[in-house]
Amino acid sequence: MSTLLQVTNLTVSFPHSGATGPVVRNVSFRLETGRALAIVGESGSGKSVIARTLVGLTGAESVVEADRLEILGADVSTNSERDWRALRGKDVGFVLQDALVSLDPLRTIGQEIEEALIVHGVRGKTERQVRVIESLAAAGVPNPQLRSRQRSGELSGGLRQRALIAQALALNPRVLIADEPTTALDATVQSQIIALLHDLKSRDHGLIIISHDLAVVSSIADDVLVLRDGEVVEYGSVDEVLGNPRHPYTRRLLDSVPVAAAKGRRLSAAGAGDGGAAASFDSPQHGSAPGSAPHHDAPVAPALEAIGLVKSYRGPDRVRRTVVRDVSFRLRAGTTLGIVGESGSGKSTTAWLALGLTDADAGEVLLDGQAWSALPERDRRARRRRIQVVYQDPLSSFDPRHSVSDILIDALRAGESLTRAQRQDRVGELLDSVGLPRRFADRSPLTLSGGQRQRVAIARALAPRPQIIVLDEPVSALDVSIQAQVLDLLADLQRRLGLSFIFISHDLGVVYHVSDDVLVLKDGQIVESGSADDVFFAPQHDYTRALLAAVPELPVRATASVAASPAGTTAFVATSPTDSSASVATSSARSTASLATS
Amino acid sequence: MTVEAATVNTVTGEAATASTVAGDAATASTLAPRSVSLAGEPPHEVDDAALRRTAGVIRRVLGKLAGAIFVLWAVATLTFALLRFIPGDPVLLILGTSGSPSAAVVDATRKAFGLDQPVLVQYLNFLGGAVRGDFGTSYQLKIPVTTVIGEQLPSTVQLVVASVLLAWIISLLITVPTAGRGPIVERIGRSVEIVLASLPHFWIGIMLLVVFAIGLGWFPVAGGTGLTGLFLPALTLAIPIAGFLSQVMRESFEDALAQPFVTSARARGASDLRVRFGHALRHALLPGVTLTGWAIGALFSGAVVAEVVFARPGIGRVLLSAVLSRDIPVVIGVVVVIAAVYVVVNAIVDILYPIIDPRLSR
Repeated sequence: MSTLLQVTNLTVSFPHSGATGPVVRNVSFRLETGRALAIVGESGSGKSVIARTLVGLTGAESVVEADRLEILGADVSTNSERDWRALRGKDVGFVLQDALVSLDPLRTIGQEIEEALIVHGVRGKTERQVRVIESLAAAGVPNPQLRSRQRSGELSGGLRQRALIAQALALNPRVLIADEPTTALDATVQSQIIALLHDLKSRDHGLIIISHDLAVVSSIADDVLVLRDGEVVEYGSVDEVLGNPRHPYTRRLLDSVPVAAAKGRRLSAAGAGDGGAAASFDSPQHGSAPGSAPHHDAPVAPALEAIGLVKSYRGPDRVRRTVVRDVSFRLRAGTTLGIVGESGSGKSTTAWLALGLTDADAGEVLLDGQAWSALPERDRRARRRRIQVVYQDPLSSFDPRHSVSDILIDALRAGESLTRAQRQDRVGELLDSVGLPRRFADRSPLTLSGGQRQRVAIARALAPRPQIIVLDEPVSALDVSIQAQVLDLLADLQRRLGLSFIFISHDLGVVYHVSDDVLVLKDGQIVESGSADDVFFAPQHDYTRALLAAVPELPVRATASVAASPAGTTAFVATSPTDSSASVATSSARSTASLATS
Repeated sequence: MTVEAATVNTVTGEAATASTVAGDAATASTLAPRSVSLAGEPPHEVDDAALRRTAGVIRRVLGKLAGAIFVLWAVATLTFALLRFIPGDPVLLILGTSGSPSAAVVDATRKAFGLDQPVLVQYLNFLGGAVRGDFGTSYQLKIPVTTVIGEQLPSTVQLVVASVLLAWIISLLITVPTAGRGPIVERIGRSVEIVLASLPHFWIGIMLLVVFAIGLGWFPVAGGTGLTGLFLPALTLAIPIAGFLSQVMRESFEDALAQPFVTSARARGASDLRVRFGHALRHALLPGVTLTGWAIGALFSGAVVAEVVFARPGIGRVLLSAVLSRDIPVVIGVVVVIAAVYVVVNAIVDILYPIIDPRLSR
């Protein structure tokens, strides 16, 4: 085992940007062969800046200072641009976030990989072709000859991520930096990429994984560096840091992860609003199960019912593809129906059908027991306000010239006719209900953080006083602690206003956390449905089991004494229902314990 | 008139491209990803797909052809109608303004040019001729319109091609080195572009003439054959176009430079030059090509300034004198030729799009 990276007291600042102070302060770490170091923190914590420092790509405006900055034993702190170029790709490979935009969409995968070989002086077209195929194979890309001639846009998410890793591996660099390598990937694809990273580790590469997903980190990394505002909060082995976090910030990050143990419990620490005041949750039994109000045995009228929905689209090649086939479900009033499935499984189309934004080829949607999808749009319009929607990226659904209050007033018009003063009052109330300060009314959404924008989107959905809100990946673009706050807010609103939610996500942990009932979609068909506990702890279908098995898990935390029990892990899949109930019981015991200690 | 008709065509062309893009997005969102279907498909299905694609191409080509014919017909008809309904007797224009011709001469001329027939018959005769490539006889020159245009067209084509090439060279020299180099360089670059784009042709032409032809004597003052005679008039037309071209290319160039794939390229050791020419430039080509399509059409009718200032023959001068003397057949002929240029150039642009950006080809 030899040392690949040695960083001591690294400080990076951007003096001309107007920022106060350095963005990275006195950060020290070490990386050795065959090991993986995870750098964890929320957006803006400086983790990407550290990654870029290691390839000399912090930009001309930056000032990088360090007592020691060594790559493969050589001091790089005085490197010229030419020195860095020689090192990039050869000694250190860099895998950026989001493969779709991190590979040139106009060039083939082969050309992209070949570029690394060309700039590092590999002569001979055939020699390079051979090595292109080799690196694709090394990244686990099946049929590399074919793939090398395709462009990133023609590949699936998983293959694209592998191609991105392949281009970083072209010159077999000892150090590989991966920035959010699994974010936005489906669970099964995510687990394949994690396996690939493990494989690279075993081939004596040293890995730096940058991530905000603690579960992913715990499944790949050997060491963890927790970063907040550019400073190291905690640094040590995965078991130490995630299993026995000493710093409250690390504990808060861990608590924010919606694991099985946390179902029915608040995820965010009270009062830790993202910039604004915490939600005005008037909950008498704060801390108890928020989504458990309606009972399964009680006959509750469905707020929305879908019967045998079928939807197909014709592609540009004039072939019809059935996107949703024979989907039926009931959304019980006041509960949350989770819809899970991988990309392309028909989740969003199902939501569009429920919203009446697109017409089904067959089947029907009933709203409050009355015809909904079968009606012409003219008749639907009056009842549109009853069912609202929140998207993953709220910014693109806002008119960029509108202020927050314009957005909300616009949505209020759909509900009731109000005087100017009444409207102002309602805007204030809506902001209160989503935990944003009233002074935000005049702000532009562009100036808000991701979590605040999502709160505005929720306020907009609440404006016409709906009964149902369709939430399409509402927290997928958010940091884990912000995600926790938004999930808590939704739970509060549901309890307070008696809302019904259709919650769509590819993140199984989140879906389990919020849902009463769950649908599992695959290729447009429901493969499994039932109560969240049944689906997650006693899955009947192989596909559900495969999905659940792919979910990375957090290690057991040592804070609770019961953690030593065999069922103390947060694994979803249990062999038998009895086992699962035991696991739920111990987990909740453990969570109470950890609540008490924090 | 021409410009409007042609603009309509450009717009529909773009709408078609846009709808293809939307179509692509729809495929991407449908269930079966392309990659999967490519991996394990039985051979006959591949054949089916190929057949469908060929059928799609044929359909698209036929559609474009029909559109082109429609544009040419509309341009010819509108020009014909406009010129025919302007008050004044064309026979008097043919005979010239000097003296007052006898009634017999007037009648004879009217008959010779077919102007004694009803307007509808004249129109149909005109269309029939146009289909056969015959635009009648010039009122002023008394020779066939096709001959007039045929003699002047090569000179204009030469000038336009040279101008477009120069415009591209100038705008690449302005854009590629300065884009994404920080706010100060960027501001200088943008200012240069605005100045270039707003200079009037006649002023550039006269200044170039005064400085380089009369003052320094590097180039011939008037006429001049070969490349030396071509350079100054081509530069005159190229400068404002270079300004516009740089503006649209800079926009996309800077967008591309800010994309993560550029960081990826740098992170594998690519130099700045390679990043700019190998990656970012291709992303900036698309808007540049679109603008060039428009510029070529506009240059054919706008070349007149350079042709007059530098005393060059060309279709622009023909059009100018034909309009002034109301030489209706020549005006219609030139207008139809310019419309045809627009149609052809737009077709070429459409073919170039998917070559530059393969994502547009499906």
